[in-house]
Amino acid sequence: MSGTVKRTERWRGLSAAALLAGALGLLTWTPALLPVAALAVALLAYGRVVAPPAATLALTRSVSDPDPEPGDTVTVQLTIENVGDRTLPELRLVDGVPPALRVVDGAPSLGTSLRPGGTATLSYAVEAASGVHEFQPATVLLRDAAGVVERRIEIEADEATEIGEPPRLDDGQRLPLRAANARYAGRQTVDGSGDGLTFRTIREYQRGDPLSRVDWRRRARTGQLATVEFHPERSLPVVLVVDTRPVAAVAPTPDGETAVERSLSVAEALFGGLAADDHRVGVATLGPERTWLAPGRGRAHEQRARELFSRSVEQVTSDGDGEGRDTAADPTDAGRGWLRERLPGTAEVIVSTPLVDDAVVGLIEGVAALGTPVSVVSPDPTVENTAGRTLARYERRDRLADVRASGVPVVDVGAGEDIERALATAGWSR
Amino acid sequence: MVPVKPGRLAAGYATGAAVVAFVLAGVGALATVLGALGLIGIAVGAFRGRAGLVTVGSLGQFGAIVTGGVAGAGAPQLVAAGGAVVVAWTVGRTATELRAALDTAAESRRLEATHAAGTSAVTLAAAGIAIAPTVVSVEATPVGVALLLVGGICLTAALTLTADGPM
Repeated sequence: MSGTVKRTERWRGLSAAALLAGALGLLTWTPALLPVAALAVALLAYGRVVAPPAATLALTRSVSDPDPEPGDTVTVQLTIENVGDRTLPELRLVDGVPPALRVVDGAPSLGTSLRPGGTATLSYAVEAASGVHEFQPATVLLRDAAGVVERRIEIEADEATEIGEPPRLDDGQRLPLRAANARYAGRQTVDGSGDGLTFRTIREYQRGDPLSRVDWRRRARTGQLATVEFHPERSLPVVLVVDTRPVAAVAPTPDGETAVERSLSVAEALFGGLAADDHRVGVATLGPERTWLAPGRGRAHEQRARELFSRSVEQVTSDGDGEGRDTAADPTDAGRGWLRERLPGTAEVIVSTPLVDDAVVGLIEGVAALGTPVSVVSPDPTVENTAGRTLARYERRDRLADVRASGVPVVDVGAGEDIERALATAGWSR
Repeated sequence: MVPVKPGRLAAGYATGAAVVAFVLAGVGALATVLGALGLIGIAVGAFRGRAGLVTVGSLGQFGAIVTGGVAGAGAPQLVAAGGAVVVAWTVGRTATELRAALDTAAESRRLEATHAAGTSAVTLAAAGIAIAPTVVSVEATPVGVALLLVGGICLTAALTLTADGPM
């Protein structure tokens, strides 16, 4: 735990002052200026010989509720102790708050000085979000009394390094699916006839019809052979495409939930609902690191999806710049080709995006053009308090209209609207 | 506890030190004007979080010390003024840094108080070393003055040029 040591260069220019004062003192025959130069030299000597404070620190973190419900306020308490035998005159500490959590009360930073054995406590409150959030190591800056040399270290707390639990997917929301090209047995009633539970029609017996489907009562009553047909019930592969690109990380207010977080909430809710209906659900995220989870079923699959959702929140909020990865090459593409390569032929696609740029419209239209049934759920991040923002809102509405015009149904979730409620009441509007 | 934004205490201390420097160096009209401008620069810079303004203000006060010295101020007075400027400069810039580095609700008074006291102590010690030769009166010889001058320049250069060497 030695960290990096550097001079702060805060007395840069002092040597120039020393030489200037000395020279002027000589030139103007003013001996009184020479001690001024000597003062500067003495300070420079101090800056040369002073040693950086040793990083003798122990950090303890505690949270009031390790498994909070999303939206709960959780108090985080951080205690730092000087376990060395020297005083630390200048100590600045900034806690590594998980990027996706918002601090609602207090401050996650502290400036203090610590005697040997002394402790300082820092307390702040965060608003819990869904998913698991890991605390980053706290950054500590130690300086000497005059602040000319500093040591920077990162300290991991020994406890409470995580907060929250993986998002629950089992009590999610259902959306009416559009697909008819389902192949596997499931619970979705589709148009067509075949095996199933829901009565559809009775038709004339044809050779080869299974005996169990023959309407024997009718045979007894009228002497004719007839076959009963049911609505077939199918399981659909559904791919939830979540727009986690940095460009979508916009929020109506500086401390509000970003559209990416809301899009992920939509996807979580839908995943739960669809999985409960026995559909095979896959997930694709369009973020800086595109991730693909092929449609599947079962607990292990749900677990993977859950991890994916909580990881995506962290990723987007921590490095929004994308750092020149995959997407940076062509921002207008938004991953259309990438998605097209992976989509199973029969899959239905639900895109969860704030629709804040044209690239994602291109993606939606491109997927729809393949004949894949696409629907869009769009959390609205726009507001109307300035002219520019109003323009952004109109542009988004325009995009919504474009998407609808291409035959893709859209659920528009308003800024203050509850996602679960919006999905529950969603009638697809074309 | 009354909430105090980070850097406020340090900014107040820096302004106080700048006032001391202004009073001590204000010998003659030019020195007073330079000192006043420097004082304003340090105060505004420290409270508004502009490190550049603090440095420019300190430079103004340094100019006041030099002109004050030329105008005939005594060595102890000038050294004290110089020390006060260094304290104002250092603590004032710490105030701007804290303002930028910590959240507005963060607690940092202890750090600021320790830093102000520590910087003052270091400067006081340096000032003591600087003023010591003037107390001891020795008959000056031309060779002695020349040697002292060369030694002073070498020491200053050495302290400056090797400052970023390995530690």
